[in-house]
Amino acid sequence: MKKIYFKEEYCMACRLCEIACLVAHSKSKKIIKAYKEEFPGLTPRLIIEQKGSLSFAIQCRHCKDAPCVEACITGAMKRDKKTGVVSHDKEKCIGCWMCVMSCPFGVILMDIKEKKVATKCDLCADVGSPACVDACPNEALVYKESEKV
Amino acid sequence: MKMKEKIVIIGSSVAAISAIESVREKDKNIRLIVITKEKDLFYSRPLISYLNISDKQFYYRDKNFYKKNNIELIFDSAISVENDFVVLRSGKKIKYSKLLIAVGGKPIIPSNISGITGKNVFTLTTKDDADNIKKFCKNQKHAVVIGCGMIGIKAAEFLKNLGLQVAIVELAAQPFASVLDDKSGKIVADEIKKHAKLILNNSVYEIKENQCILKNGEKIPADIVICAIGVAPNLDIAKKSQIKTNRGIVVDEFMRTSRKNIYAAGDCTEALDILSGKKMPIPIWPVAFRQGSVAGSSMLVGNVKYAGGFVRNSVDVFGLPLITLGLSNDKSGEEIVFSDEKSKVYKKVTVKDGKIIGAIFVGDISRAGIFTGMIKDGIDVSNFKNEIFSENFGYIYVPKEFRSKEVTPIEI
Ligand SMILES: Cc1cc2nc3c(=O)[nH]c(=O)nc-3n(C[C@H](O)[C@H](O)[C@H](O)COP(=O)(O)OP(=O)(O)OC[C@H]3O[C@@H](n4cnc5c(N)ncnc54)[C@H](O)[C@@H]3O)c2cc1C
Repeated sequence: MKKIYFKEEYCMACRLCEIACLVAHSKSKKIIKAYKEEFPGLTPRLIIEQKGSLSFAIQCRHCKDAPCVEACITGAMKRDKKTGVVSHDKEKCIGCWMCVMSCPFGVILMDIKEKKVATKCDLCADVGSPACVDACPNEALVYKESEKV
Repeated sequence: MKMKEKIVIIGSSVAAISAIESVREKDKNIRLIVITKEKDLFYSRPLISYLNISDKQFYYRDKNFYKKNNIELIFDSAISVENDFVVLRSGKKIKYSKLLIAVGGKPIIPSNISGITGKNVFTLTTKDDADNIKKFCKNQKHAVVIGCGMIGIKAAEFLKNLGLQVAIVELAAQPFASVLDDKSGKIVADEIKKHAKLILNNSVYEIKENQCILKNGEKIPADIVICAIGVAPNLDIAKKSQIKTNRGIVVDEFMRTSRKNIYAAGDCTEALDILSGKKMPIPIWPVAFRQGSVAGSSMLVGNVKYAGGFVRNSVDVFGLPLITLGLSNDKSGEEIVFSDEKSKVYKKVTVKDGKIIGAIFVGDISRAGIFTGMIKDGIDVSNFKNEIFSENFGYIYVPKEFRSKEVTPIEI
């Protein structure tokens, strides 16, 4: 399957990926409108980490034996055996945070705007290609085939 | 496997479901028979006490799961295993070539409380329990929950949402006594007290029709009592079938029991706990899932190992999020603490010999999974332990050798 990978040596922590992610997951998908109308309520699906001169953006790794899928008590977190994509169904989720407890990358976030639900990278399923990768000016984020599914 | 071979699974909860998925991933044809004594399939046990959830949330697999996976279902109780067949309550015998016991746990019922067998006393571990409690609670006012652990809290919330006034009686000095330390115990206790009466350092001595008498003589009103002092592995079948048991059914890393061709998974087992290095029951959902999955592939090919697990849980205590990991109340390690009393946030990581052995998160549980991962992988945190609660802390602290493996294109 195709996954997002980061090259930490190229990341400048410019945070453009974060903005692209927010906008891509907003209702309008337009930056000004999204910030005007939805801003404090927007949750990015990736996390930018920084330590000294090192930085990277990290999001769901779509693990094979995904700990979040194992831990999910509603079946909201699922892995498609054919594509390898780990997806999350908001309507099934009850916000028990078992997935938050389980994800070793810490990339499952809590969306508590309306009802409590987990949220995470969906590879921009409805757009085609991940917005964070498209936005990265330095190719620190790449979207490419992993070796196995 | 030859066509005439068949896998029989006793139980149809999460360990069983995950075993089925793992078998079917590798073999679409082998016969799979599931024996279950519960009528209702694929409901999520942890959700039985939730009132306002949809069927879509309550059932974690869709209704066609058994059909799609070509499962033969038998609604009956398994009693024992003789030679190579399972004996059912109805007297029927089911032949197997591989058998998986996934019968879960049973609520512990203290024998020293008089009145514990009364009609107003319930346990809360099945959908039927929850339904019966709902029925019984109509027009009732006062409830008592015995035990302030995970199920006790869920029971208290359940009763509260059903409109009753709830008192929780706990033997220990604080809620979740085995996993919380004094400080987190106090925050959690204060939160509980806003919603229910919390009686600590006490126990129920006698249950009457409308009241409980406590050890110290105090009497509290109780139209209904839920006993939630814990669950123990269900050893009924194993004990009748010469399968080695200790506190749970003893299994090896392939989920094999002491009897040839018989496997066990989930709450009924005792498997490796990576923190103590010993075998012990770890009755939590993710462990049952993983063990079921390992058992499933073991029954076919036998090359996937169970790496061991450790206790962890995520609970919502009347709206206050709480996660505990591992030996969270072990006092022998070095404690790294972050606490902010005003916002009810308390976080602690316990480090021993350079490694994290336990953690507590109250009020702020974000990214707690990073610690779960560090415990699982036994990562040496000596170099950065003082930065664990700094603002920049994150996955970036995982040593590069480790990190690069996970984020470059290889399957993990
Ligand atoms: C109220 C409650 C809340 C919980 N909340 C959480 C939580 O938030 N997080 C978490 O990690 N865990 C939680 N748990 C624990 C979790 O539900 C269990 O770890 C998990 O269900 C274990 O799965 P299992 O498949 O091993 O067994 P079980 O779910 O116990 O299922 C065993 C099945 O076997 C059947 N069975 C038993 N004996 C026989 C027989 N002789 N013949 C045929 N069938 C039989 C039973 O009817 C049952 O359906 C909770 C448990 C309860 C009760």
